[in-house]
Amino acid sequence: MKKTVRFLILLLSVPWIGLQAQVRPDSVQISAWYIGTMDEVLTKISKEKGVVFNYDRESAKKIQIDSPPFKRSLESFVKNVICSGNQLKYYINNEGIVYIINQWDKLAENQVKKEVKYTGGLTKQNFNLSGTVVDAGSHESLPFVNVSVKQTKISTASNVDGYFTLLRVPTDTSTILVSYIGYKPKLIRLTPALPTSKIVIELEPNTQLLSEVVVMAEKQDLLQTNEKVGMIKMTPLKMNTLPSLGEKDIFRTFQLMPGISAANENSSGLYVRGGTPDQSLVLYDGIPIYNVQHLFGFFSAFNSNAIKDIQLYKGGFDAKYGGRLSSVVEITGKEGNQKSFSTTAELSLMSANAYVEFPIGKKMTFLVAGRRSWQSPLYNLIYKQATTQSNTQSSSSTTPAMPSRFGNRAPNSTNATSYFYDLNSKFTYRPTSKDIISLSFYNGKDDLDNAFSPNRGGGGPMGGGFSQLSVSNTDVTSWGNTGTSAKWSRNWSKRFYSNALISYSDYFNDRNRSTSGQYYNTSSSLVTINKGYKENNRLEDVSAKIDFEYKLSNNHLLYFGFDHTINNVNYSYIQNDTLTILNRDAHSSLSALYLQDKMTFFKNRLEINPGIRVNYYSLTGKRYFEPRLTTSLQINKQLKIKGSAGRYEQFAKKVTREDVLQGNREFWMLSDGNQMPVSSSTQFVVGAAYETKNYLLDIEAYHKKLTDISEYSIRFDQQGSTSGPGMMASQSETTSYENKFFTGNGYSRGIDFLFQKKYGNYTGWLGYTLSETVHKFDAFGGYNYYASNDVTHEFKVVNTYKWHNWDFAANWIFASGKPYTSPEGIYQLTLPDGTVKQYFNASVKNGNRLPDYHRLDIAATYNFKISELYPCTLTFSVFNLYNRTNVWYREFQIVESQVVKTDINYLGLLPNINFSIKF
Amino acid sequence: MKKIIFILAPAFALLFASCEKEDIRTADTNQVVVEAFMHTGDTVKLKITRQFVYDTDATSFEPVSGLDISISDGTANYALQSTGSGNYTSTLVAQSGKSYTLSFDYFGKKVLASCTAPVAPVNLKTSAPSIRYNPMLSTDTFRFVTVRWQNPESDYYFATVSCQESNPTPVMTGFYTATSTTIEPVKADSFRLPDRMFRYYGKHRVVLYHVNAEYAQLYKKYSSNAESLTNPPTNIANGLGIFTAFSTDTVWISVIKRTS
Repeated sequence: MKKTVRFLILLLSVPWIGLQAQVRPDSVQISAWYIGTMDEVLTKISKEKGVVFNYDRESAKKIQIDSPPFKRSLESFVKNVICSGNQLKYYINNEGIVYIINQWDKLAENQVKKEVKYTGGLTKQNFNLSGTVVDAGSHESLPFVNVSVKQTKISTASNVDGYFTLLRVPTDTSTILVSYIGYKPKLIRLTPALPTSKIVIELEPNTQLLSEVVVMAEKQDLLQTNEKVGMIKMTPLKMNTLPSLGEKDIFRTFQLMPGISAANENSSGLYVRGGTPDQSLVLYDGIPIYNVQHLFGFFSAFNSNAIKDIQLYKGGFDAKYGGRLSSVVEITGKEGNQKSFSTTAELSLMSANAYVEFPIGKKMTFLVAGRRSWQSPLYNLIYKQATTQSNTQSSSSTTPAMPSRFGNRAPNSTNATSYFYDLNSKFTYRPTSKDIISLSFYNGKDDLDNAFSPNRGGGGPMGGGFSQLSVSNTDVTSWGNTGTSAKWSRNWSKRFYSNALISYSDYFNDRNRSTSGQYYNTSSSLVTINKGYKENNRLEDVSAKIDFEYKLSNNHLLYFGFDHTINNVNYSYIQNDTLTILNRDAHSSLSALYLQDKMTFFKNRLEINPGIRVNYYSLTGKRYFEPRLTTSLQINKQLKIKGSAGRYEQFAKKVTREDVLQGNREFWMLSDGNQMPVSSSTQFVVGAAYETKNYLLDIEAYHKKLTDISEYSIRFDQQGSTSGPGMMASQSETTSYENKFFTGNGYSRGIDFLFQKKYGNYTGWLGYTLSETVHKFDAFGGYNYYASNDVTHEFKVVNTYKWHNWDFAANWIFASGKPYTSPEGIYQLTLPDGTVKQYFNASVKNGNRLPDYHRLDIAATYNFKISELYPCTLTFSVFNLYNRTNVWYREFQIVESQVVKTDINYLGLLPNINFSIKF
Repeated sequence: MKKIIFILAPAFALLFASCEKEDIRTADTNQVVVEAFMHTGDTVKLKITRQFVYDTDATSFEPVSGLDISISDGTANYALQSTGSGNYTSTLVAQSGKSYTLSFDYFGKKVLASCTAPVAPVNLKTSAPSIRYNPMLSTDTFRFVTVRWQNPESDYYFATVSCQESNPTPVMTGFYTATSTTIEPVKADSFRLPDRMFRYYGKHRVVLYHVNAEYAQLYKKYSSNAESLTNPPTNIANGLGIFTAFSTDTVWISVIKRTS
């Protein structure tokens, strides 16, 4: 049966076979001796075999061919005898015409795809068509592909397994358009001979590497927007043309879009529209991933080689997703090559990366992808940047002051044993054509040991006034996430689909940072140091969910489902080895039901998606209703207006532990309804997009109201509600660290502008975001202040240019400086008993701004093949080309009434090279 | 098309500006420090300085003179006179039980603070008029004088103990210089003065201060922990420091040298 279907699909690709008196060149064998000019040889073959060639006759007369008589396919002859060595390339179009052109030339799409209409009559009307969309090379199913009937408003998208159903296709002679980002769009002419179900549509990746002819006017964009409100879609296929920091990075690529902050060079986490990374739900094959970063966040924890598709919702996400306030990232992992064994190796200055994929029998596939960092100069540089305090320092006084808390540390290459790795693996089994069972596994970890034991006499690193330093310093950080999921999806019928999933995710983040030792101070007395902290955070997530899709009609689609999540979270924070500041252990369960209705009206011009999600959270014993609505209206061919509104709740959240001096830290906790209430947000988005064939102008404005957001700070005390701004901050008698969770409100609003050139050799976009994120915590003084992730202006220019086998790219990013809190000053009071006391004062919370952030990155990628077989890419890139010193954050030390300010900077100019080969 | 733009533009504007523009606070180094401890029964005096800001050329706690400061007792406003060096005086006499509100403008902001003057300590007395002490005698045992008062509201009290002799005799030669000791604010109705706390022989004055919570908090928080910078408490809106009042009462104790 399957063979029949495959055969039919082949027919699908060449529906005009038989209609034309044309010979398919792939079935032609030649064995004669061909000698003469290329023009003479091709004319002869054309006469003998009936194959049609298309080439420049004048140039062909100048090329001499001498081919000995041995049997081979015509294609091999064209490739090896005609093209090879003559700087030519060939392309066989769907009609079987062989185009031979200069290897740098391009053919327009209309030249190679001459549409030939089926001339017979139609036999079926208003029938349902279903099938799967797959990658032509690996037969990997392609999710979320747009499938539409040309010249009608009938369209659908394939689901996560690549299945699609088009209801009420007008006739069996209609043309189907299949398009997916990163792939060449495909037109399929239906014929009455075709089956109406289980058809397999192959799409060819849109990379120069794989296509012999660069077809003009094909879709070249890296990221796709304007399909749904606030949604960006990406496949990692084209990502390697962008400048990188040694690794292709999916999150870093998203950060080039407006609305997603790129000013967090250190953090591959997503700051989406004033949200923090923990407010983004990251699902990898349905597994919620709580740690998304490697090496202090310079890289995301996802290996792009194992990823098939990524969808990011900047807001207004569907009722299917819950538990987060800001955004959703849905990552679909590759299933593995269904056709043959395939492997790719990649080496960059950061890591070695390899993946292997192969079919097991006819029904199973397996994929494993792994990468591990190696201690290259680049790795060490980034590592050093993140761990060394020897950045720009300034002191408020001229007297020597103790600089960094651990002196100026540099990672000792003999001691430091730091690395990261990640491993993705997926096993897929298709017992029937309707069922897919897959097991997915993810494991990623960072291990950073920055132990350092200076033992120096004399001046030492602590400044001129200190001597005989003897300090041993422990600094071990490790974090990671392990996740696994089992999924069963079934296409019950053309209208009904279900997807059941159970997943387990285990996140941990441990830090042990302590210093012990002694030194002699200026007055020759021995000072013993024993300070630092231990911080352990662990989160377990066990989830079970089931999603259903029921297609009532082409204009009406119902989504509904249920999910249940059990969370166990532990956090402990111990200061100076003895003082337990916090030790929390919490368990919760969260159940959710959702229903979403997708309706289209007026020939698909108006789309309305109302939805509702109902959550029950065990720790508060309450139900939470989350109504959602997204809508869009296509005014005319170019102009679309869109909008969304919704309520979102977050139960497990990352709490910021404020530390003015050493930089903030974060940990995951569960809302308890008391000290840590359930956070919620209400969001509104309106937008408009004007899209022509080549350009897109997209504007979205948003407003998010944030309620009950949490922060942990030992700088403030809990207080009664009576206090006004700047009033007495402390009413408590003794310090209780358990009481240091604070709750506040806030809002985030802004406008994202995107102007994109989508097609051609030159593509790219301009993105601009104007935004404001404001928080207000009564305990911090009850005033409005800018949130730590507030960025007023953010401007991005992304340019890619394709020239022959080269891809060039240049990005420029500008972002306003971020807010931070600093020690501001000191004041003194003379008390009634005559004593004079001095008080340190910190600035208004986040009252200062770091300098503006900007940088330029460039890259050049050369695409070639080794032995005409193995596609390779070689990428040279330079990060931060003009070596801008961007400040990451500021640290302060207060030593005897003086403040020492240390700027921790981001990376400076950084060249990089990356090589990839596919076998 | 134009119509659509006309509809869309206000929609964007409305969404972006839908929250009424609230004041968002950013760092302001122009912070005044109010030092106002009003003693009931005395005329009100206070001092205004600026905080010493890091990363600037400032060298001292710069006094701020010439401000238009007024204190209201609920019925009348009293303007304070600037007497230079950041000092201000008033004709207002602070009275127990009355509430006072301080207000003035500084760099465009209204600096505001209020407090209620506590009543004088009630029934202050000592367990004995004198204490006998001689650290040089090894056989000497601990002795205490207990100071008592009434504190039904669990208010804060602190005390200073100071030697009032013009030429005091130290209990041990050459060791002690301070003639005054402060007992930190406590919510109590008594404290014990052990003989070992006295550095001098002779007449000692014990002043008991009845203070407000804002004072007690400020007293405790005087040393900021460099590991976790803690903002010192203040009851001044748009400023730093303290605006408080206190009442005192006094008892006397004599420290007598024990000879045997």
